[in-house]
Amino acid sequence: MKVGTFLCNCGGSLDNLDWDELQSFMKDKPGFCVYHESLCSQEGKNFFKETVNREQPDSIVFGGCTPKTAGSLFEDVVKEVNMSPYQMVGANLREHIGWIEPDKTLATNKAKAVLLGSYNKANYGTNVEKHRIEIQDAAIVIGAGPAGIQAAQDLAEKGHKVHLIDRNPYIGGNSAKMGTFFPSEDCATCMPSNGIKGIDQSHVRRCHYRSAFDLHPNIDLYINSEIEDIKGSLGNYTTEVKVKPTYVHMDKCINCNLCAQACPVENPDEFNLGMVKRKAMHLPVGVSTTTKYVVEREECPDGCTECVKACPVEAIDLNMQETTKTINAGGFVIATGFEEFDPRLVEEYHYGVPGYENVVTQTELARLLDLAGPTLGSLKKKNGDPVESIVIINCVGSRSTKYNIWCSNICCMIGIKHAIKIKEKDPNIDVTCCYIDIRAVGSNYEEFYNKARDLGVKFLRGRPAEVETDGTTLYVQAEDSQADQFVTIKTDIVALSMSMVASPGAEELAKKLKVDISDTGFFKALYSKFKTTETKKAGVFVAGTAVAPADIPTSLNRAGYAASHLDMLLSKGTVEKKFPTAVIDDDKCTLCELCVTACPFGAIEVIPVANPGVKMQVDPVSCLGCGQCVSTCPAAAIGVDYYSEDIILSQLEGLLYDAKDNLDPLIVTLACWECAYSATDASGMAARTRFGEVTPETYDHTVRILPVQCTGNISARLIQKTFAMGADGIIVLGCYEDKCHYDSGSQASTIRVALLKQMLQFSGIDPQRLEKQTTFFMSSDRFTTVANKMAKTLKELGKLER
Amino acid sequence: MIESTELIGEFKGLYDKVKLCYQCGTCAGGCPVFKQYSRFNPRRIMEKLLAGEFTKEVFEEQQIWYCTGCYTCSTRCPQGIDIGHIINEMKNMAVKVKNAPEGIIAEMTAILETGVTAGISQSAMKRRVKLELPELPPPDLSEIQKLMEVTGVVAKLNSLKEHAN
Ligand code: SF4
Ligand code: SF4
Ligand code: SF4
Ligand code: SF4
Repeated sequence: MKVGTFLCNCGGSLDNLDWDELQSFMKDKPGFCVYHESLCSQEGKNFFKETVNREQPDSIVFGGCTPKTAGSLFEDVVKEVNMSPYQMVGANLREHIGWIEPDKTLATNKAKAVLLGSYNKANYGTNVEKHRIEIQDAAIVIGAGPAGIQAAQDLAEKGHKVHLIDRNPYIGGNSAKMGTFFPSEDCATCMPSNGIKGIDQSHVRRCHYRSAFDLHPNIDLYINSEIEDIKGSLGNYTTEVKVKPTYVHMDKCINCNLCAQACPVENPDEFNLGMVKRKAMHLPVGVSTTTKYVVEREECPDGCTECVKACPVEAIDLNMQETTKTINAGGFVIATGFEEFDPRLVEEYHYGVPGYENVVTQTELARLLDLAGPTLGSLKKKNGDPVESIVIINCVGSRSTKYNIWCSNICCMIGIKHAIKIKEKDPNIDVTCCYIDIRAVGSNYEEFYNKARDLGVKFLRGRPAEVETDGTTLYVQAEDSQADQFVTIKTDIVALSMSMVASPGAEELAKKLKVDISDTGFFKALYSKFKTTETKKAGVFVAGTAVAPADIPTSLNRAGYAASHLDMLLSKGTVEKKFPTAVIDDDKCTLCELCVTACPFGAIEVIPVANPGVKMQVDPVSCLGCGQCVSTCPAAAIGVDYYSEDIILSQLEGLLYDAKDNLDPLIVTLACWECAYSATDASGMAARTRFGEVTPETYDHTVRILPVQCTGNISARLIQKTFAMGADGIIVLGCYEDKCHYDSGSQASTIRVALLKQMLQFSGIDPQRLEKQTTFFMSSDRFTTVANKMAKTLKELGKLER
Repeated sequence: MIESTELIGEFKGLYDKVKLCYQCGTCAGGCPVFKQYSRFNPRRIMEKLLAGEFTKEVFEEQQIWYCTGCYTCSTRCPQGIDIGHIINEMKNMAVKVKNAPEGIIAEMTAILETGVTAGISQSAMKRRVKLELPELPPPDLSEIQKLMEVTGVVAKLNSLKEHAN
C-alpha cells in the first residue's frame, strides 16, 4: 500500500502549526509526503493532480481543512485521477487544531496524532465496494383518493407505468363523500388535470366522470383490491395484490343502469347514511362513472340472474372469482389517507345512541348537503323532517391529551364550508359554530371565515359540554366564554367536526413495506422539515393525509412532491450505491439473528443455504452502513466498509500514538459523521474568529476526534479497546436521538453508553470517563461543554491506570 | 402561579397539568353550579391559576367554595385536567392556611352542632306528609360528632374559628 500525504496550510491561516516538523514526522512513513500553501487553489489542485499522477499512490491522506469540505472541494479532482473519494482519508488539521489551539507545541503534537491516525486508516485500505441497482420503471400507488390520483397522474405523465390500487370499489377515497371542497367551493369529484394550458384542452381541472384518467395508457387501476404481500427493496419490489370481484367487467360496463333497474333486491344505501335505498347491483358513487357498477353478492337471492339478462353488453359475470396479481415495481407512493375518529368515543355528544340520530359527523353532513346525496342537497333530519337550526361542534377528538393530541387541520374549515352552504341555500336556518379557536391558516381561509360571518353564521367560543335530547329536539349545552354565560342551544341537527386519524390498516401496510408508523398512527416521514414525503425505506414515499392531517391543497402538494422524488429514481434506470455497506463474515457468524432485529432498515435477511441450513445476508440496497448490526453482533462477525472495527482501531493507534509519554489524560471523541462531526467543525469555525481567546467554542487540546458513520456502530468492544489503547476518557458524540440520520443509531448508543458506565463502575473505573452527548451543527457548545468538563475531571482523576 | 408554587410546593404536580388549559369552556359548560350562578366558573378558576392568581382566589375571591365536587368538569375536559380535584386541593390549602369564608365555617359548625347544614323547612315537611313519605328520623348527632372528631374536622374547624377571631 502506497500512501501519499498532502499537507495544506490553508493559505497560511494555519501558521501556528510547525509544518517543517510535521513534514519530517510524516516523511518517515512509507509513501510520500508533500506540502502546499493552499491546495484548493487552481494551482494547488494542479499540483495535487500532477503529484498523484506521478507517484500513483493507492490512497491519500489529506491534512488540512475538515474532510467535510476537502471531500467536496476535491471530489472532481479525485475523479480526474481515477480514484474514489473513499481512497482519500482526511486529517482535520484546521477546524480541529489550527483554528482552535494557539499553543504551537500542543497544536503540532495533536496534528501529528491526527495525521498518523489518518495515515494508518489510509494504509489499511479503505475502498468501498460499489453496488449497481437496476430500477424497474414502474410505480405502485396505494390509495386512489385525491393524493393517490395526483401522484398516479404525475408519474404516468412523466412516462412511468403506474399501478393504482384502492380497496374501495370506487375512487376518490373520503373526498368522494364530501360533495364540495373548501375554500374553492368546487366539486369534490373535480380533479387536477395534467394537460398543459394552451397546448391541449384539458388545462386546469376536470370532473372524475370525464377525466378518463384511468384510461391513461400508463395507468392500471385496481379497485376493490388490497395489498397482500411485498418483497424486495429499492428498484425491485414484488407485490401481491388481492383483487376482489365486483362481478362487473370494468372494461365492458357502459354505465347504462339497466342492470340496477332489473335488480330485485333493495337495501339501505350506507354511502348515503342509509336514508335512501340502493339495489344489490349499484354504482357505489352516484356521480362518478370512472368506476363501474358492483354487486353486493351476499345480498343476491339464490339463482337470480336478472341483471345478467338486462345487461346489453355482457359485462356481468356473477361467478367472477377473487384473483391475485403479482406486480413488479421500482417504488411506492403510499396515499392511504385518513378516517374520521370514532365519534362514539366522545361520549357526551351521544353519537350513535338511540334518540340521537341527528347527531352526525361532518362527512355525514356533507352527504346531507350533496346534490347527489340522500336529500338531494336540502338539509333534512334523518327522518326527512325540515330543519330550522344546526349546531356545528369543532375540534371533536382533536387537540386533546385525552383523544388525539394533534390539530386535524381541516375541521374548522369543513364546519365553515358546511355553514356557508346551509346559509346560502336557506338563510332562515340558524347555524351556530362552537369552537375553541378558529384556525383559518391556509390561503383564502380567513376570507372564507369572514364570508360565513357575513352570511349570518353565529360563532360561539366554547366547546360544548353535552348534547341532550327530549326525543325530538337536541339541546347543546355550552359556555359562551366571551360572555361568561351558560347557554343551551335548541337545535335539530348537531354536526361533529371529527378528528382525522390514520386509515385502518396503516400499521399492517407499514409492516409489509418495512416503514415506520409515528406516534400519531400516521406513516412516519423521514424528517419533519424536508424529506417530508420520504420514508426510511428507499423508494417508498408517502403522500396526502397518510402522513399527517392536511387539507386538499397540501395533500396534493405532498403527492406531487412524492411523485417527483419517485420519478427521479425511476428515470435513472440504474443507480450506483457508493457508500459503506455491512459485510458479514459467515465463518464467525453464530446464526443468533440478533443483527436481523437490530437493523432499522430491514436490510439483513435469513436465507436458506445447504449448509448449515441458513445464513445472514445483507441486502446492499437497503443497507445504509450505520453499523447498528455491528455493535449488536456478539460474535464480532460484521464490519462496515470504511468504518470496520479494524480500520477504526488502526486509526486509534495513530491518534493515541503518544498516549504513553503524554502526561496529560487524553480524550477520544467518537463522533458520528453527520451532525456530530459537523458540530466539532463548527466549534473550530467559531473559535477562529476570536483566535487565541478562550470562548465557549474552544476545547482542550487533549480532546481528539475520530469519525464513525453513526454512533450506532460503536460497540462495547470498541469502547473497551479504545480505553485499552490509551484513551483516558471517551465521548460518544451523536445526533439528537430522535433526529438520528440512521433512525435509531443515536438512541442505541445512548442506551449502550448508560449500560457501559455501570459496568465501568463495577470494574472500578470512574464512569465519568465515558459520556454520550448529542448535538446539531449549530449547537456545538453542547460538544465543547462536555469535552471541557471531562478534560477538567480527568485532570483531577489522572490518567487511567492500565 | 410562581407565588403559589413557592407557597405550597405540593400543588406543583397539579399545576403542570393546568398549563395545558386552552380555555375551551367545556368544564364550565357542564358545571351544575355555573349553569345557575355564572359568577362561579371553573374555566375562570383555571384562568386565574394560569395568570398566577392563586392567592387572590384562595384569600380574596374565594369562588372555589361554590364547587360541589361533582367532578363533571374533570370527566369532560379534553385536556384531561382534573379540575374538580384541583379545586378540592385549593380548598384544602385554604383550610391549611386557616382561611375559609365565614359561610363555610358556619356550615361546618351547623353540622357539628345539629347534624345538618340547614334544617328541613316547614313547607317541605308538609309536602312530605302530602306525599305520604315517612317522617324523617333526627340525625344521630353523637355518631356525626365522633366522625368529625376522628377525621380531624373538629380540630380544623377550631383552628379556622380561632383564626377568624
Ligand atoms: S449497517 Fe445498518 S443498515 Fe446496514 S445492515 Fe447493519 S444495521 Fe442494517
Ligand atoms: S448478530 Fe452476528 S452472529 Fe448473530 S446472526 Fe448476525 S452476524 Fe451472525
Ligand atoms: S375544560 Fe379543561 S381545557 Fe377547557 S377550559 Fe376547562 S380546564 Fe381548560
Ligand atoms: S366539580 Fe365543581 S367546578 Fe367541576 S363541574 Fe362540579 S361543581 Fe363545577
